[in-house]
Amino acid sequence: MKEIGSHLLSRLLDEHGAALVLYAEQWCNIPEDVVQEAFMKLMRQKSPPQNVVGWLYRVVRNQAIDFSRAESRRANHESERVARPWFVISYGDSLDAQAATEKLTSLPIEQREIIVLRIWGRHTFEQIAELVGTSVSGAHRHYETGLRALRKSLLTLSRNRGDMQS
Amino acid sequence: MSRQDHSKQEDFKLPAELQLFEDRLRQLELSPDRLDREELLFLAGRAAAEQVCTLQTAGPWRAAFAAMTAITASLLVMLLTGSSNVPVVTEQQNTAIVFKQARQHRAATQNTKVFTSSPSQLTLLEAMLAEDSFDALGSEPVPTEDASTTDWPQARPLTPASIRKLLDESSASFSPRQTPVTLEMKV
Repeated sequence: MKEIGSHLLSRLLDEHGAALVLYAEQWCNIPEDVVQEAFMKLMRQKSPPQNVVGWLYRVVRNQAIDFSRAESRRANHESERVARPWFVISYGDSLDAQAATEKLTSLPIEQREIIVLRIWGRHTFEQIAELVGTSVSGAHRHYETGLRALRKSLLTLSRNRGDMQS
Repeated sequence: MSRQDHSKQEDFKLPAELQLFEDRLRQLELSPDRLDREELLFLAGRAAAEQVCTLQTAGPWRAAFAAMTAITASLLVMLLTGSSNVPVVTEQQNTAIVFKQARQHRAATQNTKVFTSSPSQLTLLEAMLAEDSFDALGSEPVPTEDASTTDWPQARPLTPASIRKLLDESSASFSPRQTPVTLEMKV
């Protein structure tokens, strides 16, 4: 099996680094450390895993959940999480990044995790189901429910803002 | 994986308004520079190097450990098989020889003592020397009817020749460091 060289590592960082950080952020407030530790763990592997990307997401998920448990014993970090923007602030027709972050944060973790994996992690529902440990139809159901709730809340927010502006 | 691949793989269809909303969500760019790329690459390289070093240093030690284990196991097998080949008979023979030598030595000592120390034994010796008709050397011990010697299992008649023989054996069996036996005969 091919070893993980600097070129492959660089490509993994470019293609999945930001999505992995966002994925880890669904549980803990130190997602960068979690992702960095996952990459370190990958480099310490004697033989690289078959599916490197899937392996990275799984490791990040497990470590983020472990960190969140440790954090929940120390302090509530919800306020810190909301304050940090997940997306680049954009103009024009796209959604409000800050609002999207806030509304996404308010979703249940089951729906939020699947939305992040699907949209920014570019996973298929089969991959999501395997990673999350649910059925494909269950993953799709959570995704659709979460997407619907997110759309509704963002529409409501934009209407309220429009009313305020007008 | 491209978005076209996604759409090909999916059997699940979203309503049109949700598909539109999904596309708008995808347009949100993730915040870059959340990861310190240079630091991560450096740390990853170091982790990989440590892994290689660990493997390189652990290899000879593992081989040495395996070799020592094999040697120990073979020695143990040799010890077990070798100890089972030791003839027990040899030890018994040695024991018998030792017993025989000890018996001869004890007999010589006792006879010497008889000859030198005990007054009653000296009396008996005087009587035997006076008769000079016994031929006890080399023959079986002759039980004596005397009451004073019934509790003396090694008692047997002596002749001058047997006394000389006993003296020779006695001097031969004792080491020079030991105190020489002094013979005193009362005639």
